[in-house]
Amino acid sequence: MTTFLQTLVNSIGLGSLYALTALGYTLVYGVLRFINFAHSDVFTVGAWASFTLASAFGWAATGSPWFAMPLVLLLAMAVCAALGIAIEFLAYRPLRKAPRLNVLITAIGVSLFLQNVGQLKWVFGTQPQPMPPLLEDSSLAEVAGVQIRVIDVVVVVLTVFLLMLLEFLIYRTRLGRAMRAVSFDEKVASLMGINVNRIITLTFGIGSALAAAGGLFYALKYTGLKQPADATWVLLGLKAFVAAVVGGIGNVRGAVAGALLIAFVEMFGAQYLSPHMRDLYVFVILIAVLMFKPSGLFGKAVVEKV
Amino acid sequence: MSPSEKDPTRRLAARVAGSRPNPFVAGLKSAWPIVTGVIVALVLQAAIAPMLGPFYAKLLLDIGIAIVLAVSLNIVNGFAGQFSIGHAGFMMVGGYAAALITYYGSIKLGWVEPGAYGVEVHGGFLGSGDLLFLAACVFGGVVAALAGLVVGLPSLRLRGDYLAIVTLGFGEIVRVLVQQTSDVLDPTTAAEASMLEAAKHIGGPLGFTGTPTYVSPTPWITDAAGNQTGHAGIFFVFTFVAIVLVVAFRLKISTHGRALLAVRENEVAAEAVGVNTSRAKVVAFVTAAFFAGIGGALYAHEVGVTLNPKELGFQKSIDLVIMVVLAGMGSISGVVYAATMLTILPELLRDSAEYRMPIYALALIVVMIVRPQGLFGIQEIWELRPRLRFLKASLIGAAAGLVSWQLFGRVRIGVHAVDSFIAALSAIGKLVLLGGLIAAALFAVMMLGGALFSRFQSRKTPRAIARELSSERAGAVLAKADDSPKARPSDDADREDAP
Repeated sequence: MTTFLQTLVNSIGLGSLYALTALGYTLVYGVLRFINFAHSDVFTVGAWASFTLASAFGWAATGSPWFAMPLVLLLAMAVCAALGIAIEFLAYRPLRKAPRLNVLITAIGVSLFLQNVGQLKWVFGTQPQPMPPLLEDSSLAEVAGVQIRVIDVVVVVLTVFLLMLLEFLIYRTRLGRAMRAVSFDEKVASLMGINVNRIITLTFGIGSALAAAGGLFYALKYTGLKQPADATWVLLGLKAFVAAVVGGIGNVRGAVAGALLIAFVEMFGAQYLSPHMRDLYVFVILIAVLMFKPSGLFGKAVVEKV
Repeated sequence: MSPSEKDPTRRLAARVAGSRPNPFVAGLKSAWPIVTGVIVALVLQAAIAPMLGPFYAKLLLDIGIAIVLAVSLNIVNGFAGQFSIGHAGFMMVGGYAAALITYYGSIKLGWVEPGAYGVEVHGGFLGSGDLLFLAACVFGGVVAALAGLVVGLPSLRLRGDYLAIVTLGFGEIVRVLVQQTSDVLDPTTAAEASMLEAAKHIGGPLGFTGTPTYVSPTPWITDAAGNQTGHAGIFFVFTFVAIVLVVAFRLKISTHGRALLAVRENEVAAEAVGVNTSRAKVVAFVTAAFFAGIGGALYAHEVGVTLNPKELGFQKSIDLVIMVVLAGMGSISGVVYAATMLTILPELLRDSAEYRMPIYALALIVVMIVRPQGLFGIQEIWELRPRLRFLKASLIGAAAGLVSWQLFGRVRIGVHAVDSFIAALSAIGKLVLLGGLIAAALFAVMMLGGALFSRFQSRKTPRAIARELSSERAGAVLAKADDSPKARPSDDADREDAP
């Protein structure tokens, strides 16, 4: 029973990380109808940028003041938002009218570019680095033998906060209404006086900022940062993507539900079946969903018009 | 004149039927490219490789294997437009299947001395060892083709990005599964184990160590005492290159290939003109996977290579995708060219290897924005029309490459990061020089060949007849249009097919 509850707690922690990243995929898909392959690398940059920032402030050795983590979070989000906007402007905007395959290949190109520029000596380097502890890694409480770590609580609380912020942004503000309009029909939205390009740019910024938050939380939780081109990051991004697809890509709430589902399957599979196959479960789910319900669990089926 | 004679389509059919060669001639015509390929492979093995020395002979092997893999990927990505980024997965399936056959097969056949550490190459040229190796290659191809069928089936429901993700997922699943296996059994243990048991011991994360190196660049010579050095690896690799090239070319100009191209251009339209798109897509996947499996089998037996799930991951798939996309999706000669160049490039970029991938990635983005169809598009190199202009362009390119190679090869700032970047520029200059010279030579040969061919060509080809007829038909349509009242401008012209 304790194992079961512990796995449950762990999967909620992991699921919130996936949710933050999956939202980026889903938001971009909503407005541009393509899968931003470079998103997982924005996540990586988020993790590495927060490492660089935290080390630059010199908190690695001394222990950090209480405002360290929110500060790094905000800065990393700003860096990644700028990066996301730059990517959109330089790589994707010239291809607005191009066939989807070209956009897909460009996205893969951007992803490779970010990974390998991150590997350069004067960027992040090829060595794995330990993340400075911005939060005390201690057990907050023990309920029925289940360890609840401070980091997990903070990550989950912050994730819920960011998600509520996003929900408010999308459903309660003019900007959100414009985003939904662009997602519904780009042409009509532009006829209604919405600056479509600006909305797309902002969407990229928001998605990338969420990925940065995910990156920071990941770095805090799993403190050994792998090198930027390591397969771990690609895999992480893929799982978040799978979460977005399972939830129905383009659907914001679906992405969160999908992320939790993926995390549950991964954690429970690792706990009760075999820990070596944890990546396998996720891909099996992906293929099953795509085979039987390609629009995802909460997505609407789209009929292709000719 | 009877109506049937007036109908240009029937006349075309009759004339094409009249110019159809007899089966014997057709058979010879089909065989000669492969025969030529085998002869070229033999010449490369026997004459060129000893001249090149071990380093360049190994490079030649790498190029050959890269060509097999890239051309096979071109069938599914380039012809059918089904974007697959898990090609290394097929390679891995084929490689492991073949290694299983040669390693454990050699042991079962009793070719290994008791107590030996690894499995050695057995027999002489085209002896029993070589036959086992060739059979293993084909077996690897077949197993990979079955995997291709498994991946091809979801492609019936998915398109574009989703399919890419599924192929990627497939590659990852194969990698994870291979990593779960146990270490390779040593010959003594393996002799007693069953084949099923052996299949569970294919190395896991460490890789399949100790595969016999049938694909070795060492020149294969038998000295007076009858001792053999090296092996006919180059011959085998380039025989497979010849086979994959012939299959790809004949596929491209056949009905099946046209169906694939139609699927790539517009699936709904292809379906509307009667192409069985499901079949076409699965055929593309299976064919591509078959040759990827063979490529993997060759790779598995190459000298200096340990078949390793880490090496054959996402990165390998992406390398292959870059070869296909940069050269032009659908252009076979373009892909061969790109595979050759991009295999040589890392050797030139030894000093500044860290800049290789950023440059590839940047090139990918820039090509997609500036020239979305890739360098050659769907055309073969000899189909590019103003050949003289391309010849000039490639010569100018070669000159620019020479200048940049020499210029950047001499400049050093003293800062390591900047210096390695300059070294990269110099190496790229070298490559551009090489590429420009090769391209110029190709264009020159094509121009000369074209001139000679048109001089000696006596009978009209079906294509020429079709061109003639289509111009006749265009004339008839124009004449008809003149008679009729002024045609209403089409209001469909500015309709957009918004999704």
